[in-house]
Amino acid sequence: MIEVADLKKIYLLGNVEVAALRGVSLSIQKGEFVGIMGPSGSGKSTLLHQLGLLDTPSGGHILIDSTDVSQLDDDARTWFRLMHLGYVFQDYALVSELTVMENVAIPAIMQGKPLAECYAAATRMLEKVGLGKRLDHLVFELSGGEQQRVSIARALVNTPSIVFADEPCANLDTENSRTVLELFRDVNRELKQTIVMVSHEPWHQSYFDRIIFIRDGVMDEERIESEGKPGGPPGNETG
Amino acid sequence: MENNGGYGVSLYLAVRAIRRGNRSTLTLTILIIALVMVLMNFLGMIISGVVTLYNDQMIDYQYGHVAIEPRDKEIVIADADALVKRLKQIPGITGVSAHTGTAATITNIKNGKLQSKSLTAFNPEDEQSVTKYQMVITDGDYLSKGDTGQILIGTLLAGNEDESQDKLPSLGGIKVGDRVEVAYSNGVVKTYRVKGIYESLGALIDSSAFVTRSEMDSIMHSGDTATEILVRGSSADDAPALKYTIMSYGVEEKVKTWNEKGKGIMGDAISSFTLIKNIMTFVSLIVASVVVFIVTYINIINRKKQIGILKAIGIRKQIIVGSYLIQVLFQCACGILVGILMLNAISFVLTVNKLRFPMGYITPAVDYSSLAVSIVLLCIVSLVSGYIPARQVVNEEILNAMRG
Repeated sequence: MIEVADLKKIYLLGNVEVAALRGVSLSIQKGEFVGIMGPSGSGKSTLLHQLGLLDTPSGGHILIDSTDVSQLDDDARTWFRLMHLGYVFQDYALVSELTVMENVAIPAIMQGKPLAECYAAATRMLEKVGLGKRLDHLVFELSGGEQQRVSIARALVNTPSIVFADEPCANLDTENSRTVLELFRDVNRELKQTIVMVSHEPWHQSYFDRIIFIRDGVMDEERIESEGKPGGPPGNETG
Repeated sequence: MENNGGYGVSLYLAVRAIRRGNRSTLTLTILIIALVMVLMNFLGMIISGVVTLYNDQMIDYQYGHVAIEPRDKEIVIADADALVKRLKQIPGITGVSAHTGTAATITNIKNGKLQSKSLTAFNPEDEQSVTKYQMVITDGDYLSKGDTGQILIGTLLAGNEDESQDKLPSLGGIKVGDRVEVAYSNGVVKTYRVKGIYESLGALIDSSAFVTRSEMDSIMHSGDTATEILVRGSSADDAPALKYTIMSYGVEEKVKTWNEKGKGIMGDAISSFTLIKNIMTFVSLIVASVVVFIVTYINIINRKKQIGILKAIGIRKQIIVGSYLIQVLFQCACGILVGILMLNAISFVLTVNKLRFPMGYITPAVDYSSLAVSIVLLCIVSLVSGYIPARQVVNEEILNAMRG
């Protein structure tokens, strides 16, 4: 589903070249819930941004569903993002002038579907994330956890091939983090939704099918998690 | 790639941004555009008022709709009475009046003040069907057909006893019943009783004097001649058609419309006014473009993160730019609407409290053709000023934009 070969990303800081990714190769299969982990500054978010077509790599190839997305021009990348990918960001990234339902519906509206159909899909998705009663609220009327659930609903509304989540729990307390992670887990299992998520919290590991560790811009190790129950946050280990 | 929501999404986003965005910024922008609209059109409104007033005065007091002048190389129109009769029978003509003019010096016997003027003679009955002197008599009476030894004088020529109150050189305070001495160009001097004083509010018009044609004939022996024949038709706009109708009836004298007669001196003034108006329009447009640019730029910079989000979730750049352009157009349309309301309010206030110009009181008129031009210009300038910052921010890298 995702094939990455020798992926590089070099930033220019003044005249100094900083290699954020130094030849990463990996593959992610359909239906996997993959975690990308690593220390701060290791390049995990950079990797996610390249995979999610939010940034342009300096070298290497990314194939998503057999399409070499590294060869696409700007318009084609935008279209690919709309049609095939979903995003959940650390800071929720919702449009403040849209209601909860409109925020979720906008990617579907952009696809050219009838408005009623878009709103119906958005409502279904919001009910799934437990916000069926907050459809007409504006985003500032919601808590952080609720906003992140709206963001997840938006990412899923177009039934994308892959959902990319960039530290979605970074701004949430433990309880809300667990809600979000369980939501991801449910979606992954029920809808066979491929999810690629960046995290630096060790207790998140138990939710992932597989973990890709990044250190200094290269893959450090890859670990397949055993099929099992989710873990808990530090100090809250229940089983 | 074609299967997407297109510019409907721009409208969708724009409507919600307008409904739920910052009301104060929106109101302020609309107000500024409205004021620019007023600035662009106010002078034009005054110029229109001046032109309308000047045209009305030319028609109502000086030329009628069409003026007939002596043929080339002739100084008078011969057989004037016959020509007047012929003209009265032409369809579409509602009034004809022959004028005879001569140079004269008028002296106020009471104080000895004198003024050299062109004294005009007309048949008072014919004149009523062409000009409006009989309607603007402020003191005394209008001339009657058989009047001899009586003169009609304009209020500015009559003047005031206190010279400081005069707007033009005058006879120093003539009143109805006073006597003036008129020295004709042929050397005859005759004393007249002032029968009436009129006031049209036009400076040139109100410094003239009139006697009857029979009175002038008794002095100048002008006989059946006239220096000018004024013709009134159904409307000012039909004057060119009336001119050609008159010519088609075999009138060989020079036939001119009021517009052809009057475009000389006032034409220059209007050209100068128009130049000033164009400069004001240009400056106003620059003000509008700078304001729209700044407001849109600040608006867009504040929403840079949201633009990044929209791009990230797959909204095309053109759609995002489109939504900002729709917002700019909405601001512009509201500004234009408020501006037109303000212009009409100003026009109403100035109609109630009229502006006094040398040719009379101005009733400002909204010139809808220049209004249309300013609307188009304002829309173009606003769109360009909105497009530049929107395009600039939308072209930023997604991650940069999302950092805000």
